[in-house]
Amino acid sequence: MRGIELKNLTKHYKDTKALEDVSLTIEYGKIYGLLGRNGAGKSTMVNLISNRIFPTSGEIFVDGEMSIENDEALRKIFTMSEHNLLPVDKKFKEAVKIVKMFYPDFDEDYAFALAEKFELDVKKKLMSLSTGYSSIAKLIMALASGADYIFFDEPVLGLDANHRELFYKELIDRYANTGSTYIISTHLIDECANLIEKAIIIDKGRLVTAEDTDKIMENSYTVTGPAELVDKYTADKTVVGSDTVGGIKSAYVKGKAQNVPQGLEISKASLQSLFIQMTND
Amino acid sequence: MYTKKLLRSTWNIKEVLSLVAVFAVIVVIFSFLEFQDARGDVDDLLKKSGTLSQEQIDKLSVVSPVGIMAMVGALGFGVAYTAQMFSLSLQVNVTRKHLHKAILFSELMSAGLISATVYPVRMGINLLFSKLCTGQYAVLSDKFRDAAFNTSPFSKNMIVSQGILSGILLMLFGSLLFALIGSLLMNFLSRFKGAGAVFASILCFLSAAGILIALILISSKWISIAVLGSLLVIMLVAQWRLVKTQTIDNTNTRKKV
Repeated sequence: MRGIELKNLTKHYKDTKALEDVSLTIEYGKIYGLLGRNGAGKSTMVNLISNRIFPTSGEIFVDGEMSIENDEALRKIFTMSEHNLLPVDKKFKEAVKIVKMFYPDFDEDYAFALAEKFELDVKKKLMSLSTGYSSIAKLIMALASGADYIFFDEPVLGLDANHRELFYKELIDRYANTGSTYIISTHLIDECANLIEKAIIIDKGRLVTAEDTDKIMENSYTVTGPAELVDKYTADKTVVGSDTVGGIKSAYVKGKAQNVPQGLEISKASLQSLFIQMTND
Repeated sequence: MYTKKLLRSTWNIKEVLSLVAVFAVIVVIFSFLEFQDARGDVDDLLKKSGTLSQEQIDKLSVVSPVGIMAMVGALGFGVAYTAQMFSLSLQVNVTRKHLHKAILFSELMSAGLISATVYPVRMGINLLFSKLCTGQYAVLSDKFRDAAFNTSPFSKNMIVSQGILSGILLMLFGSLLFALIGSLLMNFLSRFKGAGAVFASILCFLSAAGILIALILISSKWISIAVLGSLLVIMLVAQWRLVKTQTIDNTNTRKKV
């Protein structure tokens, strides 16, 4: 079976439980959103899969092969991190050559074409790039890597709206052309909600859900109206969370809306609002 | 294969050559100062006793600022590459096994490179100054050499070769020790990313350089070499066990699959 499988993955740092008994499967050929609050364990999960750190317990399989210290399995993964890990004294065009050495399917022409689209100066050293362009350089490396599983950790950090739009567009194009798996770890949920096919939500190191976003959203709705009416309507329903402003209440409910009384308004819950309710203390 | 790629992507010929050139200039300056200092010491000693004891010769030839500088330089030279390699290995998902090997090779290469720069330059400078001061080419000044000849046949050879050989040996030992400490520490501190790798490298550098300099300053040369040798063996065993454990763990898990 193609995909990345995590089995009872746990990572502890002394007394801190960064990740606790996480089991899930990342299917090949889909776009995932890896969502979680600050310190939820997103980066730990990505770093474990990329063999940057070792698990306290549990196993990781890439296309059925154990990935820890396994060169062949790790060649299928590329991770764009928040930090720049490439030699900063190298120019972008030199860094491209370095990455190509390790990723034989790296598409050099595509990388330079993207650099042109993003107006990235390929003759500049990585250390002299601004925060935004540094992110762009890392994004280009990831998109052009040719790896089967590409992880983006906060990909649009420091990017202006135009560049963010261009990145999302290029990601979809690349996905359509290569069919690889893209996993985006981000806090800007609304921005990429339309891209994400599946959402992995983790909170305090534990897996909350790993489902199709459509399914998450289909099975939830928002009911808004006077607080009393909303409470009465939701009394026998599963309420994920709620917000009250003045006397008006919005409740996030699991399931399908049925027999809605007059005076209440039903709307589709956004992924971001559901995420907030799922991960609120 | 990945070890070679890691080395190729971090070792830059132009950078290496320019660093070697800078190093050579520093060595020239230090050699001159050392030469003048040694001549002064020999003159003083000869005036007092007319000859040099074995202990005095050891002192003059072993604790050489150029030797220590070369050793520390070799260690420092490797720090930058080690940090870069560690960082790059995280980005391109290279396994620890390859990273350890690449760090070891890198350290040995930097030690070799610095040896190849420092000692020929130092010899050349000594010969040149000898010619200028005494009219003859000699590794050390004629007076120094004559004094050495008067003590024992053993020291006659040592006076020429001791400083160079012990310097090279200590430097190679030091670099290897540094490489082993470095790769072990980096494995234990594997949670570090980016800036953390640089921190780990500096820590390795300081610990290895500190141990070496302390040993050279407080002990005799042979005790230093013995202690360093023992440390090296311990580190090599630890390194070997580390790589072996990882491989076994991996193989077992693969078997389960």
